[in-house]
Amino acid sequence: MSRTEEMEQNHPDLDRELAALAAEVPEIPADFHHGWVEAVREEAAQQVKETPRGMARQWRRLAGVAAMMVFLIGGTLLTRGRWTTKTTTVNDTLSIQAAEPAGQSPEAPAAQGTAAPAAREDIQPLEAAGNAGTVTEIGADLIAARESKAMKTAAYRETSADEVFGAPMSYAVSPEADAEEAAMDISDMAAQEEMAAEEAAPEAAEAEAERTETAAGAAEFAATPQANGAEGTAAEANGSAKEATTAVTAEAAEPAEETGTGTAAATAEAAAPAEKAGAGKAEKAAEEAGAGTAEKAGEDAKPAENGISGFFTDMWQFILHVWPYAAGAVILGGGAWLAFSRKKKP
Amino acid sequence: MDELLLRRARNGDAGAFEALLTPLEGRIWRICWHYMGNREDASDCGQETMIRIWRNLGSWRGDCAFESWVYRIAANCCLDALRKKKRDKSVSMEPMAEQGFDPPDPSPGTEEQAVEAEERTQLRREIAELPEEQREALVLTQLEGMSYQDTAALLQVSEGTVKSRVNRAKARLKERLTEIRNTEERGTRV
Repeated sequence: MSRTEEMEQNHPDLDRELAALAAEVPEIPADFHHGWVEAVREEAAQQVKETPRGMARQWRRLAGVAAMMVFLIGGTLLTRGRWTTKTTTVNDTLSIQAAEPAGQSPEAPAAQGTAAPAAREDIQPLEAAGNAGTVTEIGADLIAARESKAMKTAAYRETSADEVFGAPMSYAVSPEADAEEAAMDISDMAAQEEMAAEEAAPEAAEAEAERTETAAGAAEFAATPQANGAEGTAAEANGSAKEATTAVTAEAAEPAEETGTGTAAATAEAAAPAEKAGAGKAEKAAEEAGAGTAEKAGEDAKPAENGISGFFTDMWQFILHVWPYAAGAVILGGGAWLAFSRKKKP
Repeated sequence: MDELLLRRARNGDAGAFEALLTPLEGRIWRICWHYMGNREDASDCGQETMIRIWRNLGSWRGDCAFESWVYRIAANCCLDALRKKKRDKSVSMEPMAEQGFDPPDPSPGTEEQAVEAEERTQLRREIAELPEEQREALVLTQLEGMSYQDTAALLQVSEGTVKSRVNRAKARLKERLTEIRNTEERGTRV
């Protein structure tokens, strides 16, 4: 027998009394059930009165979350693709391209090799043309072309430009020629390029003749790149265009050599239209070609942006641009809430 | 226990709560009676128990039996009421008797029955004087008829601890009752 059991059996009288006490329990009062049921119902009614505040708080939270989602998703959808083009400037483009040499960005090596260097190098002929006294007209054209190229460059970076331009090109000739080369690789623009080359060729030949006659002067220096560019452009446009340009150049050069009229002023006068024609045509063609390729590149890029990651990238851009306004609104709203809300009684 | 009723009661359905607790009210009443020793206090404690259960229904996680949880609340209600009674130093019957108040005997009968009733009143009074832990164990096992195992689960102690508390409570009661009855016998002889 264990100690506990021994102890339990030591109080038989007490156990008997306890058993009697247990049996003595009176019947439940008649109003006991009714009493506690009423008390619980009153308690439940009080809780129901307090519930709307809790419910309102929950609804307010849900409404806040829903409003935030609508703001983010709706704002992203409305402003999709707006932030990247708007915020990219010429300097940004150049700095990005300087930071990303060809090969680092697998998506657009060809775009880096064609359009961007062209935009970077069109500043040089602007300076050279300034020396020749034709800075105003050419400068305006170049600035416009530079801006358009910079914007297109941003689009090129997002696309598979290899498909558009083919292999990267060399930049041995002038920037106008570069830009035109970029344009010339587009098959549907070939006819336009050919026309530009044909128009530029006689003047280029004239300039070439003057250059060989005088072989000196700043005007010659200014005219040469454009002439070379136009010539190079014409030569590389396609096979037939090259042959035609060469022939015209050869024919035009001969009378110039015979007359032997070659002063710096005459050269400048002769160079100016050539320059204007060469630069203008090349830029026009490049711009049109750029626009065409940019549109094409945009179309190519759309499927990539339609993905979930693209959407979240756009949402992130949206948040980056909108958060100062949102933060301001939250601060103002919080201040108003603090100012007008009453303090709760303990 | 009906899970559906419990869920509805948790969602604020007083009718479901009534259906859930009505089968347990007899036991709750007995616990309150054994702790409090009179109908009025037992009734008040029973109602307070029900309201506490209603308020805290959401806090029951099912880690113990629902009935055990309910009886635990009932026991706590009674203990709180007894503590409050002691604090308030409520009017006892003795000063009233000194002032000439003589309550009628609720169970008139033979002299033997009167002696037994007096002994039960003494016993109940001594139970109320026991330490809380011992009183809980004694009431649940000896008066409510719960097993040591269930009581141990309800009080969240080991079965051995429950037995030990019950034995200590009995020893103390025996000692106190013997002392009182010896004093009464001596007084009768004198």
